[in-house]
Amino acid sequence: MKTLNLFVGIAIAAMLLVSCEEGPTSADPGQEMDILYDSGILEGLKFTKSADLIYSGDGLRITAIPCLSDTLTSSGSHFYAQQKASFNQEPVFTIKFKGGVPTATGSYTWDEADVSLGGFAFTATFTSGVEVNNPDNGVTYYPVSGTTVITRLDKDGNGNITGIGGYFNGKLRSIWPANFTPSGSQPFPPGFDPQSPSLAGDNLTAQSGVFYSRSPSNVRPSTSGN
Amino acid sequence: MRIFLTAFCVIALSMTAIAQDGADTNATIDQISEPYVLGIGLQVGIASGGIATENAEGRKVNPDFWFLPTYGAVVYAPFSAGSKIGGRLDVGVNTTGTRTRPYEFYGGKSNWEGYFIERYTMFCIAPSINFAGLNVGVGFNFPMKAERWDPESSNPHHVIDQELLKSMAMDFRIGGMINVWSTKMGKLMVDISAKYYFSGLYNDNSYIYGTESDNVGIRLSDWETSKILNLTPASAHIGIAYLFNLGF
Repeated sequence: MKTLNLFVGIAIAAMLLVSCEEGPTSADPGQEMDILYDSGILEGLKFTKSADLIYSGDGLRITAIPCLSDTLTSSGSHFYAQQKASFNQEPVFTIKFKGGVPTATGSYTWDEADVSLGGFAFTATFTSGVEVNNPDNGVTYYPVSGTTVITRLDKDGNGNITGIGGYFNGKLRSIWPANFTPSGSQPFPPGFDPQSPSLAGDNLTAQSGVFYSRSPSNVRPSTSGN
Repeated sequence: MRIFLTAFCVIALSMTAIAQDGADTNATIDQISEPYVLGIGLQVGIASGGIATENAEGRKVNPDFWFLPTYGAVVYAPFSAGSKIGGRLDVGVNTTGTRTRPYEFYGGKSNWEGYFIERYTMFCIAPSINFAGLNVGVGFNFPMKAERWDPESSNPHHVIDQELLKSMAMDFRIGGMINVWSTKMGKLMVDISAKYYFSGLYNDNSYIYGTESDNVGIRLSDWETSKILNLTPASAHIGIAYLFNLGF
């Protein structure tokens, strides 16, 4: 009997260990790009989004933001939200790739953003990953860790890239907390070292970002990805 | 989490083995009176159905059905020798889920025909009281894996961030244990159970499909002031349990 219980215990432990997964990974199935109205005065109208981002984070409710326009550049792709559809606006999120827009589908790992003193303020730069400009609170978040997966890559007759599609998941962070105000006694937020600056602000999780750039622009393909 | 689960299994296993050592030692002492019989064994759920019990405006659900919804160890301890009333403890893996119809025209379909599946797998510790076959109790559920997927799509399943989920969700459960085959060694039971996850599975404001939506999935203009509903599924399953008799 003891042998049986030992077997049972080991089997249960094995099953439990095998099936734990933290997430987030892959794209949420509720984020459709093509939406077809099927009734009323809009019947037959096809409405296509450029992207949809679901995020959550410090002090934020979980939110989905649809993006209706995009711009493809040699370094990556910018996606713009519905409520800011005009020129000279900040994109809701920007995807960057090390070495430029890749020429092949696949998985591209994010690099953590570097923080440095630029002029009179600290700024963040990164080579690979996603930057989110949250239109709900105005805070910019930079990549910490994550993955962008390219599942679709469109090219024209000259081999130039005209569109990229896929999804991403990852962790992001702002440089400083949104509610932090420097003072004489505390010029920097807790955890922020001005001699070796790093992201020390609010956390944001890109639960699922789905994108398909459809802008008329095209870019020369890069020769290297990451 | 994995370390916690592994440690728990090892402890549970050790306690079972120690209980048996005690049973062997005391076996000859109580031969005159009716022995106290503790049941220890396994339970496996065979089939299950589940559905979310509350929907945000602009969203609907359907029931979902799946196999192997639960598995784990079960202990049944009568309150006294020969008693029909006793305590039951289930320790193992439970799943619940629903089919979510996120908006009317989802999947390029009309009349709410499109849907995706949500499935939540949890490590569960569930004490209950059994009244001559009728079982009533609560379950303490610790998330292990949560997924969403469109069954008509070839895309990989979306694994939901565990930080969105409650570290412990609670359910109320009611069910029955029907003895179908009894021998000196143990009992085979048909196990039926219905559960309602009254605490919700998500942290506050963390269930994306608890937000209001229009009929093509765009959030409503008054979203900023709206409340995000939690996911509170109900599910039922039928399975079997085998309890080895341990006489004291």
